[in-house]
Amino acid sequence: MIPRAVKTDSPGFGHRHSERRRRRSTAALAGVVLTLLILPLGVLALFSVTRAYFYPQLAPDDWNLRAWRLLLHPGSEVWGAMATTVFVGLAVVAVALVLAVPAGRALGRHSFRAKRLVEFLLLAPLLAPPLVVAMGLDFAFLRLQLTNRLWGVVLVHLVPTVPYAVLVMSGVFANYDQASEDQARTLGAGRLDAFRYVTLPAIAPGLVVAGVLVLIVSWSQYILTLLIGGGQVVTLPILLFATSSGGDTALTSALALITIAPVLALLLLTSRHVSRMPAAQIGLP
Amino acid sequence: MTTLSLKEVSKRFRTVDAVTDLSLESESGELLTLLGPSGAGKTTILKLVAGLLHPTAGDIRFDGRSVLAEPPEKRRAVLMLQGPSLFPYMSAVDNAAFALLMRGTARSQARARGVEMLTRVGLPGLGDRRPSDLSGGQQQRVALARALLAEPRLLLLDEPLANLDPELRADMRHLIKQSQRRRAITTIFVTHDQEEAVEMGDRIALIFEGRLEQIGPPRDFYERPRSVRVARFFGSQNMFAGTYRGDIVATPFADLHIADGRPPEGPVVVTIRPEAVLLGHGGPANTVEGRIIESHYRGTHVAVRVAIGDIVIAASLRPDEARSFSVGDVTKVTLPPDRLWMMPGDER
Repeated sequence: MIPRAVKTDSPGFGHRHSERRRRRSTAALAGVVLTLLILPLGVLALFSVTRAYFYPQLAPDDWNLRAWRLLLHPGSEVWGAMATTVFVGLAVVAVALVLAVPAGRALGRHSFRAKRLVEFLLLAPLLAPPLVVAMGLDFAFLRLQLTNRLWGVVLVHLVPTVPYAVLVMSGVFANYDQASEDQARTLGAGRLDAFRYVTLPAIAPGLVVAGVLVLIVSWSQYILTLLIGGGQVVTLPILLFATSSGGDTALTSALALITIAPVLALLLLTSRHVSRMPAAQIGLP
Repeated sequence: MTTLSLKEVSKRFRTVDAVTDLSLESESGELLTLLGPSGAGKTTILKLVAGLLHPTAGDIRFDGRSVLAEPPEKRRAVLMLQGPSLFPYMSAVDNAAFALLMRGTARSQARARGVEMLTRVGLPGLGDRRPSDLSGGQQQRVALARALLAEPRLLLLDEPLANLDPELRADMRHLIKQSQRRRAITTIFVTHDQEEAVEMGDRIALIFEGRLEQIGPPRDFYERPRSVRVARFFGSQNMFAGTYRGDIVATPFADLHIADGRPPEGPVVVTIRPEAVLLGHGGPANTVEGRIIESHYRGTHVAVRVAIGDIVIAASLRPDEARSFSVGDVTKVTLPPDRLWMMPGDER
């Protein structure tokens, strides 16, 4: 958030003074955050439009759109990878939410003896080194003949995403008053109707937060996709790593920007939902 | 027109007994208030009847038929809760017509009946408002309309008026009772407010710690409490310990004749309503001398306190009667035998 200019009509001199100082420190913080976010993207953008840009040159001397033209060409591999990434992401979001709603409800609403244990087991895949998890899963998936397939990749993306979704939803349900649902039941709504007409609208903001989180995590998966997809399932990160090992800086930079852009756009679109929910409610520390 | 009966119903939450061995019959079309201190298990009883909880033991019957196997949506026992229980994402009409919509009534017809019912509970023209744009009292009216449109066999009210200010509460009590009477809906009304229970209830079931302590018409709780706890809950002011033997109760200040109530002989507690205590004119029995130590004018009556030795008796006089007494006077105090009531004395 970029603070507006200091108001001059605030009442009281001392008040105005501290107000100004507060605004100044907010501005400084916002500046730092924006710099950290935008600077790398700016560098990428710069690299993507030059052939060679070395120290001690102040500015690149050869500007061109070669990388972008290559990548955005109708026959480019980018489009297929984008479609695969979107498909995998949406499928993962759908499955993760379907799993997270009942699980989060159970964790958020009831207290039972093994609750701590379940919570720990839920987080376990996030705590273990990804490579270890990936190797073990690869072995299991090979046996189940799920490797090299799109559905295998969707399935394996659930491992790092479901924990987040369940955590968010358990926070949502912990703060959701069951009374409305009870009320609906006695008014003749079956379990499903009560959920659909009463609970779902109430937890919708939480679902958006969980969905965005899941999509972002799925979008950035590399190791799991590579191992389970076996190079057959090409998502944007797979394409990006392959390109970067080719050593073409401009191409890599442009592709990195293409990979980031959709996620960034999504975050901006949903930031209202995400920031409006108190951290406690979405179950994040 | 449904009768509700609970047969030896118990509900246990892990190690806590919320309801113990409760048997209760409601008459068809009556308004039964469930009264008790908070935490007595009243809400649990309502949820058991509604089907939101399942009893650990016992049976629940509507019109003599067990409903234990039926889920809440099939029982048509409609709950109305304390506070804002409207669905916030729906307009007032959609809230009111919710039960009809759930039953598959056509939307236009359901809405028409919703509008009509909202008018009947005093909210004409507010149907399109969201609950957040309605006052607390208006929200409760919508909730009542919603409950009535569900055509309940049983109406279950869980302190629905607790969050309203006194004036609104009186209006809503009237509206609820009127709607309930007109349709003869058997209604269970939960409250911890003894005054509200007396005003609303055809009968009162008093619940202490998940057990039925006493059930009967409101008057019984004042004049014939079954135990000292009941008498205390209903604000009894005159309670004297004594020993009952052969038609006479020996108390520290007098031997009292008693016309009614026959507990086993032994320790008893005697109680009498302040308005039953007579001052001045000596009666044939139970008359002693006392000194008036306090007198407070209360508009409809005068509250007087009389000391007999070190025992104090509260009496209530009509203002014109009270004119002939003043503080310090020594007078005759009569406790009529037919107005005295005995309770077992071996309780707290």
